[in-house]
Amino acid sequence: MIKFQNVSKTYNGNVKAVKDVSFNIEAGEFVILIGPSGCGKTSLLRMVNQLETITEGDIVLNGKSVRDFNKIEMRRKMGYVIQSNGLFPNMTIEDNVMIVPNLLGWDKVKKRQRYQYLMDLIGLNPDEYKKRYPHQLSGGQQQRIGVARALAADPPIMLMDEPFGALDPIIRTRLQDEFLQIQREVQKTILFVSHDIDEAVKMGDKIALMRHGELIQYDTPANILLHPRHEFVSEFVGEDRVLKSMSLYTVKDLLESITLDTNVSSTQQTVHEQTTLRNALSVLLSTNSQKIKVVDIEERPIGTLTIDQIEQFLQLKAGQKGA
Amino acid sequence: MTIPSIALLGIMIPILSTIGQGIGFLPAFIALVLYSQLPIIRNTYAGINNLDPNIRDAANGIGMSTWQRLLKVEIPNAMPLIMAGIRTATVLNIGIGAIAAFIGAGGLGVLINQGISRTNSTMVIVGAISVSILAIVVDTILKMIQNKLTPIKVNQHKEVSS
Ligand SMILES: Nc1ncnc2c1ncn2[C@@H]1O[C@H](COP(=O)(O)OP(=O)(O)OP(=O)(O)O)[C@@H](O)[C@H]1O
Ligand SMILES: [Mg+2]
Repeated sequence: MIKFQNVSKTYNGNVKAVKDVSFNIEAGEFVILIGPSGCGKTSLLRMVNQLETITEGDIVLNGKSVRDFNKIEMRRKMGYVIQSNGLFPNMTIEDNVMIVPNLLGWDKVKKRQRYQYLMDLIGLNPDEYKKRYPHQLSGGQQQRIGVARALAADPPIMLMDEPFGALDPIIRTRLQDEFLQIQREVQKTILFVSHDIDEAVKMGDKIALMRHGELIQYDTPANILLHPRHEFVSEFVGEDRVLKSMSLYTVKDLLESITLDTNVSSTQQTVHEQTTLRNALSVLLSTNSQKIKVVDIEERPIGTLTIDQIEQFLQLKAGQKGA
Repeated sequence: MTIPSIALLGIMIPILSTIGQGIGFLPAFIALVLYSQLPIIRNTYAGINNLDPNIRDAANGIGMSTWQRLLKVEIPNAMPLIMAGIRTATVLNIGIGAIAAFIGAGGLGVLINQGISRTNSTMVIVGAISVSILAIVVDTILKMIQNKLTPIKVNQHKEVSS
Protein backbone atom coordinates (compact mmCIF):
# COMPACT_ATOMS: atom_id res chain seq x y z
CA MET A 1 0.00 0.00 0.00
CA ILE A 2 2.81 2.43 0.89
CA LYS A 3 6.07 1.64 -0.84
CA PHE A 4 9.26 3.47 0.04
CA GLN A 5 11.60 3.14 -2.94
CA ASN A 6 15.20 4.22 -2.31
CA VAL A 7 13.98 7.33 -0.53
CA SER A 8 16.59 9.96 0.36
CA LYS A 9 16.18 13.38 1.90
CA THR A 10 18.83 16.08 1.86
CA TYR A 11 18.18 19.43 3.54
CA ASN A 12 19.86 22.55 2.15
CA GLY A 13 22.02 20.44 -0.15
CA ASN A 14 24.19 19.02 2.64
CA VAL A 15 22.25 17.60 5.64
CA LYS A 16 21.55 13.99 4.69
CA ALA A 17 18.57 13.16 6.91
CA VAL A 18 17.31 10.02 5.13
CA LYS A 19 19.54 7.75 3.04
CA ASP A 20 18.24 5.28 0.48
CA VAL A 21 15.40 3.84 2.54
CA SER A 22 13.26 1.10 0.98
CA PHE A 23 10.45 -0.91 2.55
CA ASN A 24 6.77 -1.71 2.02
CA ILE A 25 3.80 -1.21 4.29
CA GLU A 26 0.80 -3.43 3.58
CA ALA A 27 -2.77 -2.20 3.96
CA GLY A 28 -3.92 -2.44 7.57
CA GLU A 29 -0.42 -2.79 8.90
CA PHE A 30 0.80 -0.95 11.99
CA VAL A 31 4.42 0.03 11.40
CA ILE A 32 6.63 1.64 14.03
CA LEU A 33 9.51 3.90 12.99
CA ILE A 34 12.09 3.90 15.70
CA GLY A 35 15.66 5.02 16.24
CA PRO A 36 17.83 7.52 18.12
CA SER A 37 17.01 11.22 18.06
CA GLY A 38 17.90 12.86 14.76
CA CYS A 39 18.00 9.61 12.75
CA GLY A 40 15.42 10.91 10.28
CA LYS A 41 12.12 9.48 11.53
CA THR A 42 10.18 12.73 11.27
CA SER A 43 11.75 13.51 7.90
CA LEU A 44 10.68 10.14 6.51
CA LEU A 45 7.16 10.52 7.87
CA ARG A 46 6.73 14.01 6.45
CA MET A 47 7.68 12.92 2.98
CA VAL A 48 4.66 10.62 2.93
CA ASN A 49 2.17 13.50 3.14
CA GLN A 50 4.48 15.76 1.14
CA LEU A 51 5.16 18.25 3.92
CA GLU A 52 8.73 17.63 2.83
CA THR A 53 9.79 17.02 -0.74
CA ILE A 54 11.50 13.75 -1.62
CA THR A 55 15.07 14.48 -2.69
CA GLU A 56 15.69 11.11 -4.34
CA GLY A 57 13.65 7.95 -4.81
CA ASP A 58 9.88 7.78 -4.49
CA ILE A 59 7.04 6.96 -2.13
CA VAL A 60 4.27 5.09 -3.89
CA LEU A 61 0.77 5.02 -2.44
CA ASN A 62 -1.63 2.49 -4.00
CA GLY A 63 0.46 2.39 -7.13
CA LYS A 64 0.77 6.15 -7.54
CA SER A 65 3.64 8.41 -6.50
CA VAL A 66 2.70 10.71 -3.61
CA ARG A 67 4.10 13.52 -5.74
CA ASP A 68 1.27 13.05 -8.24
CA PHE A 69 -1.59 13.34 -5.75
CA ASN A 70 -3.48 16.54 -5.03
CA LYS A 71 -1.70 17.42 -1.78
CA ILE A 72 -4.72 18.88 -0.03
CA GLU A 73 -7.05 15.97 -0.80
CA MET A 74 -4.37 13.45 0.05
CA ARG A 75 -3.61 15.02 3.43
CA ARG A 76 -7.28 14.94 4.40
CA LYS A 77 -7.17 11.17 3.98
CA MET A 78 -4.07 10.87 6.14
CA GLY A 79 -4.49 11.62 9.80
CA TYR A 80 -1.38 13.46 10.91
CA VAL A 81 -0.32 13.78 14.53
CA ILE A 82 2.49 16.30 14.70
CA GLN A 83 5.35 15.73 17.15
CA SER A 84 4.55 18.90 19.11
CA ASN A 85 0.72 18.56 18.88
CA GLY A 86 0.29 21.82 16.89
CA LEU A 87 -3.23 22.63 18.08
CA PHE A 88 -4.71 25.89 16.79
CA PRO A 89 -4.62 28.38 19.72
CA ASN A 90 -7.46 30.46 18.27
CA MET A 91 -9.93 27.57 18.12
CA THR A 92 -11.90 25.82 20.85
CA ILE A 93 -11.21 22.16 21.56
CA GLU A 94 -14.32 21.19 19.62
CA ASP A 95 -13.22 23.21 16.60
CA ASN A 96 -9.74 21.78 16.82
CA VAL A 97 -10.94 18.19 16.96
CA MET A 98 -13.49 18.68 14.21
CA ILE A 99 -11.37 20.72 11.83
CA VAL A 100 -11.09 18.10 9.09
CA PRO A 101 -14.80 17.14 9.18
CA ASN A 102 -15.49 20.88 8.97
CA LEU A 103 -13.23 21.25 5.95
CA LEU A 104 -14.96 18.24 4.40
CA GLY A 105 -18.37 19.76 5.13
CA TRP A 106 -19.93 17.04 7.29
CA ASP A 107 -23.46 17.65 8.53
CA LYS A 108 -24.12 18.82 12.10
CA VAL A 109 -25.56 15.62 13.53
CA LYS A 110 -22.73 13.48 12.22
CA LYS A 111 -20.19 15.95 13.55
CA ARG A 112 -21.73 16.06 17.01
CA GLN A 113 -21.76 12.26 17.28
CA ARG A 114 -18.22 12.02 16.05
CA TYR A 115 -17.02 14.63 18.54
CA GLN A 116 -18.64 12.76 21.42
CA TYR A 117 -17.18 9.48 20.26
CA LEU A 118 -13.65 10.84 19.87
CA MET A 119 -13.60 12.57 23.24
CA ASP A 120 -14.87 9.43 24.97
CA LEU A 121 -12.16 7.52 23.17
CA ILE A 122 -9.33 9.70 24.43
CA GLY A 123 -10.87 9.87 27.90
CA LEU A 124 -11.83 13.55 28.07
CA ASN A 125 -15.32 14.76 28.92
CA PRO A 126 -16.89 16.07 25.67
CA ASP A 127 -18.95 18.84 27.29
CA GLU A 128 -16.37 19.97 29.79
CA TYR A 129 -13.72 20.63 27.16
CA LYS A 130 -15.92 21.71 24.25
CA LYS A 131 -15.55 25.46 24.71
CA ARG A 132 -12.08 25.50 26.17
CA TYR A 133 -8.97 26.64 24.34
CA PRO A 134 -5.81 24.55 23.92
CA HIS A 135 -3.74 26.62 26.37
CA GLN A 136 -6.25 25.73 29.10
CA LEU A 137 -5.27 22.05 28.82
CA SER A 138 -2.27 20.17 30.18
CA GLY A 139 0.42 18.99 27.78
CA GLY A 140 -0.85 15.41 27.91
CA GLN A 141 -4.44 16.50 27.29
CA GLN A 142 -3.32 18.59 24.33
CA GLN A 143 -1.52 15.61 22.92
CA ARG A 144 -4.65 13.52 23.20
CA ILE A 145 -6.65 16.22 21.41
CA GLY A 146 -3.99 16.05 18.69
CA VAL A 147 -4.67 12.33 18.31
CA ALA A 148 -8.44 12.90 18.25
CA ARG A 149 -8.02 15.58 15.57
CA ALA A 150 -6.05 13.19 13.39
CA LEU A 151 -8.68 10.46 13.81
CA ALA A 152 -11.64 12.78 13.28
CA ALA A 153 -12.51 12.10 9.66
CA ASP A 154 -11.65 8.40 10.03
CA PRO A 155 -8.77 8.49 7.54
CA PRO A 156 -7.54 5.16 6.17
CA ILE A 157 -3.92 6.15 6.78
CA MET A 158 -2.46 7.58 9.98
CA LEU A 159 0.92 9.27 10.29
CA MET A 160 1.73 9.68 13.96
CA ASP A 161 4.87 11.39 15.21
CA GLU A 162 5.46 10.34 18.83
CA PRO A 163 1.78 10.81 19.66
CA PHE A 164 2.11 9.46 23.20
CA GLY A 165 5.45 11.07 24.00
CA ALA A 166 4.35 13.50 26.70
CA LEU A 167 1.94 11.23 28.54
CA ASP A 168 2.31 9.68 31.97
CA PRO A 169 2.66 5.88 32.00
CA ILE A 170 -0.94 5.18 33.04
CA ILE A 171 -2.60 7.32 30.37
CA ARG A 172 0.02 6.21 27.90
CA THR A 173 -0.75 2.55 28.48
CA ARG A 174 -4.46 3.25 28.30
CA LEU A 175 -4.18 5.12 25.02
CA GLN A 176 -1.92 2.42 23.60
CA ASP A 177 -4.50 -0.21 24.51
CA GLU A 178 -7.36 1.91 23.17
CA PHE A 179 -5.46 2.51 20.01
CA LEU A 180 -4.72 -1.18 19.51
CA GLN A 181 -8.40 -1.84 20.12
CA ILE A 182 -9.44 0.69 17.44
CA GLN A 183 -6.84 -0.76 15.14
CA ARG A 184 -8.28 -4.25 15.51
CA GLU A 185 -11.71 -2.90 14.59
CA VAL A 186 -10.94 -0.49 11.77
CA GLN A 187 -7.60 -1.72 10.41
CA LYS A 188 -5.99 1.54 9.45
CA THR A 189 -2.59 1.64 7.84
CA ILE A 190 -0.41 3.32 10.42
CA LEU A 191 3.09 4.74 10.39
CA PHE A 192 3.92 5.57 13.98
CA VAL A 193 7.12 7.20 15.21
CA SER A 194 8.33 6.18 18.64
CA HIS A 195 11.58 6.22 20.53
CA ASP A 196 10.38 3.67 23.06
CA ILE A 197 11.22 0.08 22.15
CA ASP A 198 8.62 -1.27 24.59
CA GLU A 199 5.94 0.76 22.87
CA ALA A 200 7.21 -0.45 19.50
CA VAL A 201 7.15 -4.10 20.54
CA LYS A 202 3.69 -3.74 22.03
CA MET A 203 2.06 -1.79 19.20
CA GLY A 204 3.78 -2.68 15.97
CA ASP A 205 3.10 -5.41 13.44
CA LYS A 206 6.47 -4.39 12.04
CA ILE A 207 9.32 -2.25 13.31
CA ALA A 208 11.56 -0.12 11.11
CA LEU A 209 14.73 0.64 13.01
CA MET A 210 16.77 3.56 11.71
CA ARG A 211 20.18 5.05 12.42
CA HIS A 212 21.85 8.10 10.81
CA GLY A 213 19.16 8.19 8.14
CA GLU A 214 19.57 4.54 7.17
CA LEU A 215 17.09 1.74 7.64
CA ILE A 216 18.95 -0.91 9.64
CA GLN A 217 16.26 -3.58 10.02
CA TYR A 218 12.62 -3.81 9.01
CA ASP A 219 11.02 -6.79 10.67
CA THR A 220 8.43 -8.15 13.07
CA PRO A 221 8.96 -7.27 16.74
CA ALA A 222 9.82 -10.91 17.44
CA ASN A 223 12.57 -10.93 14.83
CA ILE A 224 13.91 -7.55 15.91
CA LEU A 225 14.21 -8.88 19.46
CA LEU A 226 15.24 -12.47 18.84
CA HIS A 227 17.05 -12.23 15.50
CA PRO A 228 18.76 -8.84 15.37
CA ARG A 229 20.57 -8.62 12.04
CA HIS A 230 23.03 -5.94 13.09
CA GLU A 231 24.98 -5.18 16.22
CA PHE A 232 23.24 -1.83 16.45
CA VAL A 233 19.84 -3.57 16.63
CA SER A 234 20.74 -5.65 19.65
CA GLU A 235 22.36 -2.62 21.24
CA PHE A 236 19.29 -0.49 20.61
CA VAL A 237 16.74 -2.98 21.93
CA GLY A 238 18.80 -3.60 25.04
CA GLU A 239 20.36 -6.53 26.86
CA ASP A 240 16.96 -7.53 28.14
CA ARG A 241 15.73 -8.19 24.60
CA VAL A 242 14.83 -11.80 25.41
CA LEU A 243 12.82 -10.63 28.38
CA LYS A 244 11.13 -8.04 26.16
CA SER A 245 10.29 -10.67 23.61
CA MET A 246 8.33 -12.44 26.33
CA SER A 247 5.66 -9.76 26.25
CA LEU A 248 4.96 -10.79 22.65
CA TYR A 249 3.69 -14.19 23.71
CA THR A 250 0.92 -15.33 26.01
CA VAL A 251 0.81 -18.52 28.01
CA LYS A 252 -1.67 -19.73 25.41
CA ASP A 253 0.98 -19.39 22.69
CA LEU A 254 3.27 -21.51 24.80
CA LEU A 255 0.58 -24.19 25.15
CA GLU A 256 0.68 -24.69 21.39
CA SER A 257 4.15 -26.14 21.51
CA ILE A 258 4.61 -27.28 25.09
CA THR A 259 2.44 -29.64 27.11
CA LEU A 260 1.85 -28.72 30.73
CA ASP A 261 1.70 -31.08 33.65
CA THR A 262 -2.02 -31.39 34.32
CA ASN A 263 -1.51 -32.36 37.93
CA VAL A 264 -2.65 -29.11 39.65
CA SER A 265 -2.91 -28.50 43.34
CA SER A 266 -5.19 -25.71 44.55
CA THR A 267 -2.60 -23.90 46.65
CA GLN A 268 -0.57 -22.62 43.75
CA GLN A 269 -0.52 -19.04 42.41
CA THR A 270 -2.77 -18.70 39.39
CA VAL A 271 -2.38 -16.99 35.99
CA HIS A 272 -4.81 -16.79 33.08
CA GLU A 273 -3.82 -18.28 29.77
CA GLN A 274 -4.03 -14.77 28.19
CA THR A 275 -1.28 -13.52 30.50
CA THR A 276 1.94 -12.60 28.71
CA LEU A 277 4.91 -14.83 29.35
CA ARG A 278 6.70 -11.84 30.81
CA ASN A 279 4.04 -11.41 33.48
CA ALA A 280 3.83 -15.15 34.05
CA LEU A 281 7.57 -15.25 34.64
CA SER A 282 7.28 -12.35 37.03
CA VAL A 283 4.61 -14.23 39.00
CA LEU A 284 6.76 -17.34 38.96
CA LEU A 285 9.73 -15.43 40.35
CA SER A 286 7.64 -13.95 43.12
CA THR A 287 6.33 -17.27 44.40
CA ASN A 288 8.29 -19.68 46.54
CA SER A 289 7.09 -22.73 44.69
CA GLN A 290 8.63 -23.57 41.33
CA LYS A 291 5.23 -23.79 39.65
CA ILE A 292 2.15 -21.71 38.89
CA LYS A 293 -1.29 -22.84 37.92
CA VAL A 294 -2.65 -21.85 34.49
CA VAL A 295 -6.41 -21.42 34.09
CA ASP A 296 -8.57 -20.62 31.03
CA ILE A 297 -11.07 -17.76 30.68
CA GLU A 298 -13.69 -19.65 32.71
CA GLU A 299 -11.15 -20.25 35.50
CA ARG A 300 -10.88 -23.96 34.67
CA PRO A 301 -7.40 -25.26 35.49
CA ILE A 302 -5.27 -26.26 32.49
CA GLY A 303 -2.05 -27.33 34.13
CA THR A 304 1.11 -26.11 35.88
CA LEU A 305 3.82 -23.99 34.33
CA THR A 306 7.51 -23.90 35.31
CA ILE A 307 10.41 -21.59 34.52
CA ASP A 308 12.09 -24.42 32.63
CA GLN A 309 9.11 -24.64 30.29
CA ILE A 310 9.24 -20.92 29.55
CA GLU A 311 12.93 -21.20 28.79
CA GLN A 312 12.25 -24.17 26.55
CA PHE A 313 9.63 -22.19 24.64
CA LEU A 314 11.92 -19.18 24.18
CA GLN A 315 14.71 -21.38 22.85
CA LEU A 316 12.21 -22.82 20.42
CA LYS A 317 11.26 -19.31 19.25
CA ALA A 318 14.87 -18.14 19.04
CA GLY A 319 15.60 -21.15 16.87
CA GLN A 320 12.82 -20.37 14.39
CA LYS A 321 14.04 -17.95 11.73
CA GLY A 322 11.52 -15.46 10.40
CA ALA A 323 8.72 -16.03 12.88
CA MET B 1 6.75 57.08 8.70
CA THR B 2 10.16 58.57 7.96
CA ILE B 3 8.60 61.43 5.99
CA PRO B 4 7.27 64.07 8.43
CA SER B 5 3.56 64.52 7.93
CA ILE B 6 3.74 68.23 7.29
CA ALA B 7 6.36 67.62 4.58
CA LEU B 8 4.20 64.97 2.93
CA LEU B 9 1.28 67.40 2.91
CA GLY B 10 3.60 70.01 1.43
CA ILE B 11 4.84 67.69 -1.31
CA MET B 12 1.30 66.83 -2.31
CA ILE B 13 0.24 70.45 -2.83
CA PRO B 14 2.08 70.94 -6.18
CA ILE B 15 1.31 67.40 -7.33
CA LEU B 16 -2.40 67.61 -6.65
CA SER B 17 -2.58 71.20 -7.88
CA THR B 18 -2.32 69.79 -11.40
CA ILE B 19 -5.86 68.49 -10.92
CA GLY B 20 -6.93 71.55 -9.00
CA GLN B 21 -6.96 69.81 -5.59
CA GLY B 22 -3.69 71.14 -4.10
CA ILE B 23 -5.20 72.09 -0.79
CA GLY B 24 -8.26 70.93 1.10
CA PHE B 25 -9.73 67.55 1.89
CA LEU B 26 -8.22 65.31 -0.81
CA PRO B 27 -4.48 65.71 0.01
CA ALA B 28 -5.24 65.27 3.70
CA PHE B 29 -7.20 62.13 2.95
CA ILE B 30 -4.42 60.68 0.79
CA ALA B 31 -1.82 61.44 3.44
CA LEU B 32 -3.91 59.72 6.12
CA VAL B 33 -4.37 56.63 3.98
CA LEU B 34 -0.63 56.46 3.25
CA TYR B 35 0.30 56.88 6.88
CA SER B 36 -2.11 54.24 8.10
CA GLN B 37 -0.71 51.62 5.72
CA LEU B 38 2.62 51.36 7.42
CA PRO B 39 1.68 50.23 10.94
CA ILE B 40 -1.13 48.02 9.66
CA ILE B 41 0.90 46.24 7.01
CA ARG B 42 3.96 45.96 9.19
CA ASN B 43 1.99 44.49 12.09
CA THR B 44 -0.02 42.13 9.91
CA TYR B 45 3.17 40.88 8.34
CA ALA B 46 4.90 40.46 11.71
CA GLY B 47 1.86 38.72 13.21
CA ILE B 48 1.62 36.17 10.42
CA ASN B 49 5.36 35.74 10.13
CA ASN B 50 5.85 35.11 13.84
CA LEU B 51 3.20 32.40 14.04
CA ASP B 52 4.55 29.22 15.66
CA PRO B 53 5.81 27.16 12.68
CA ASN B 54 4.29 24.02 14.21
CA ILE B 55 0.86 25.55 13.90
CA ARG B 56 1.35 26.40 10.25
CA ASP B 57 2.69 22.90 9.79
CA ALA B 58 -0.37 21.36 11.40
CA ALA B 59 -2.61 23.47 9.16
CA ASN B 60 -0.81 22.16 6.08
CA GLY B 61 -0.67 18.64 7.45
CA ILE B 62 -4.41 18.30 7.92
CA GLY B 63 -5.03 19.50 4.38
CA MET B 64 -5.92 23.18 4.51
CA SER B 65 -5.52 25.20 1.32
CA THR B 66 -3.39 28.35 1.48
CA TRP B 67 -6.52 30.48 1.79
CA GLN B 68 -8.07 28.32 4.49
CA ARG B 69 -4.83 28.46 6.43
CA LEU B 70 -4.70 32.23 6.10
CA LEU B 71 -8.34 32.82 7.08
CA LYS B 72 -8.80 30.15 9.76
CA VAL B 73 -5.38 30.06 11.36
CA GLU B 74 -2.92 32.77 10.41
CA ILE B 75 -5.09 35.89 10.54
CA PRO B 76 -7.00 34.91 13.72
CA ASN B 77 -3.73 34.22 15.52
CA ALA B 78 -2.16 37.43 14.24
CA MET B 79 -5.28 39.40 15.23
CA PRO B 80 -3.84 41.08 18.35
CA LEU B 81 -0.95 42.46 16.34
CA ILE B 82 -3.14 43.44 13.42
CA MET B 83 -5.50 45.27 15.78
CA ALA B 84 -2.55 46.94 17.51
CA GLY B 85 -1.49 48.20 14.08
CA ILE B 86 -4.96 49.50 13.37
CA ARG B 87 -5.00 51.29 16.72
CA THR B 88 -1.61 52.85 16.12
CA ALA B 89 -2.68 53.97 12.66
CA THR B 90 -5.92 55.46 13.96
CA VAL B 91 -4.31 57.47 16.75
CA LEU B 92 -1.59 58.58 14.36
CA ASN B 93 -4.21 59.67 11.86
CA ILE B 94 -6.09 61.73 14.39
CA GLY B 95 -2.85 63.59 15.07
CA ILE B 96 -2.00 64.07 11.42
CA GLY B 97 -5.61 65.05 10.73
CA ALA B 98 -5.11 68.00 13.07
CA ILE B 99 -2.01 69.10 11.18
CA ALA B 100 -3.92 68.84 7.93
CA ALA B 101 -5.82 71.97 8.96
CA PHE B 102 -2.70 73.85 7.80
CA ILE B 103 -3.59 72.98 4.21
CA GLY B 104 -7.21 73.86 4.71
CA ALA B 105 -8.67 70.43 5.23
CA GLY B 106 -10.82 71.61 8.15
CA GLY B 107 -11.55 69.59 11.32
CA LEU B 108 -10.46 70.04 14.92
CA GLY B 109 -6.99 71.16 13.80
CA VAL B 110 -8.61 74.43 12.67
CA LEU B 111 -9.07 75.42 16.34
CA ILE B 112 -5.38 74.88 17.05
CA ASN B 113 -4.32 76.53 13.83
CA GLN B 114 -6.43 79.65 14.36
CA GLY B 115 -5.58 79.72 18.06
CA ILE B 116 -1.90 79.90 17.19
CA SER B 117 -2.32 82.66 14.60
CA ARG B 118 -4.53 84.70 16.94
CA THR B 119 -2.25 83.90 19.93
CA ASN B 120 -5.38 82.69 21.70
CA SER B 121 -4.05 80.03 24.08
CA THR B 122 -7.54 78.98 25.26
CA MET B 123 -8.46 78.11 21.71
CA VAL B 124 -5.24 76.11 21.27
CA ILE B 125 -5.83 74.20 24.52
CA VAL B 126 -9.47 73.46 23.70
CA GLY B 127 -8.41 72.19 20.28
CA ALA B 128 -5.59 70.07 21.67
CA ILE B 129 -7.72 68.55 24.41
CA SER B 130 -10.51 67.74 21.96
CA VAL B 131 -8.05 65.99 19.65
CA SER B 132 -6.62 64.05 22.62
CA ILE B 133 -10.02 63.00 23.90
CA LEU B 134 -11.01 61.90 20.42
CA ALA B 135 -7.84 59.81 20.14
CA ILE B 136 -8.32 58.19 23.56
CA VAL B 137 -12.00 57.41 22.98
CA VAL B 138 -11.41 55.90 19.55
CA ASP B 139 -8.49 53.86 20.86
CA THR B 140 -10.58 52.52 23.75
CA ILE B 141 -13.39 51.52 21.41
CA LEU B 142 -10.93 49.74 19.14
CA LYS B 143 -9.45 47.97 22.11
CA MET B 144 -12.90 46.72 23.07
CA ILE B 145 -13.42 45.45 19.54
CA GLN B 146 -10.05 43.74 19.70
CA ASN B 147 -10.98 41.97 22.92
CA LYS B 148 -14.19 40.73 21.33
CA LEU B 149 -12.38 39.52 18.22
CA THR B 150 -9.53 37.60 19.77
CA PRO B 151 -9.79 34.46 21.86
CA ILE B 152 -8.46 34.25 25.38
CA LYS B 153 -5.04 32.88 24.62
CA VAL B 154 -4.10 35.52 22.12
CA ASN B 155 -5.39 38.29 24.38
CA GLN B 156 -3.37 37.08 27.30
CA HIS B 157 -0.31 37.15 25.12
CA LYS B 158 -1.00 40.77 24.35
CA GLU B 159 -1.62 41.67 27.98
CA VAL B 160 1.65 40.11 29.05
CA SER B 161 3.71 41.70 26.33
CA SER B 162 2.21 45.18 26.44
N1 LIG C 1 13.96 21.56 8.09
C1 LIG C 1 15.20 21.09 8.28
N2 LIG C 1 16.27 21.72 7.77
C2 LIG C 1 17.53 21.24 7.95
N3 LIG C 1 17.81 20.13 8.63
C3 LIG C 1 16.78 19.43 9.16
C4 LIG C 1 15.43 19.88 9.02
N4 LIG C 1 14.62 19.00 9.66
C5 LIG C 1 15.43 18.05 10.17
N5 LIG C 1 16.72 18.29 9.88
C6 LIG C 1 17.88 17.46 10.25
O1 LIG C 1 17.68 16.18 9.71
C7 LIG C 1 18.05 15.16 10.62
C8 LIG C 1 16.88 14.26 10.92
O2 LIG C 1 15.88 14.99 11.62
P1 LIG C 1 14.48 14.38 12.01
O3 LIG C 1 13.66 15.46 12.60
O4 LIG C 1 13.93 13.65 10.86
O5 LIG C 1 14.93 13.34 13.15
P2 LIG C 1 14.03 12.47 14.14
O6 LIG C 1 14.49 11.07 13.95
O7 LIG C 1 12.59 12.74 13.95
O8 LIG C 1 14.53 12.97 15.56
P3 LIG C 1 13.70 13.12 16.96
O9 LIG C 1 13.58 11.75 17.53
O10 LIG C 1 14.60 13.98 17.79
O11 LIG C 1 12.39 13.77 16.66
C9 LIG C 1 18.60 15.90 11.85
O12 LIG C 1 19.99 15.95 11.74
C10 LIG C 1 17.99 17.27 11.74
O13 LIG C 1 18.83 18.23 12.32
MG1 LIG D 1 11.13 13.62 15.13
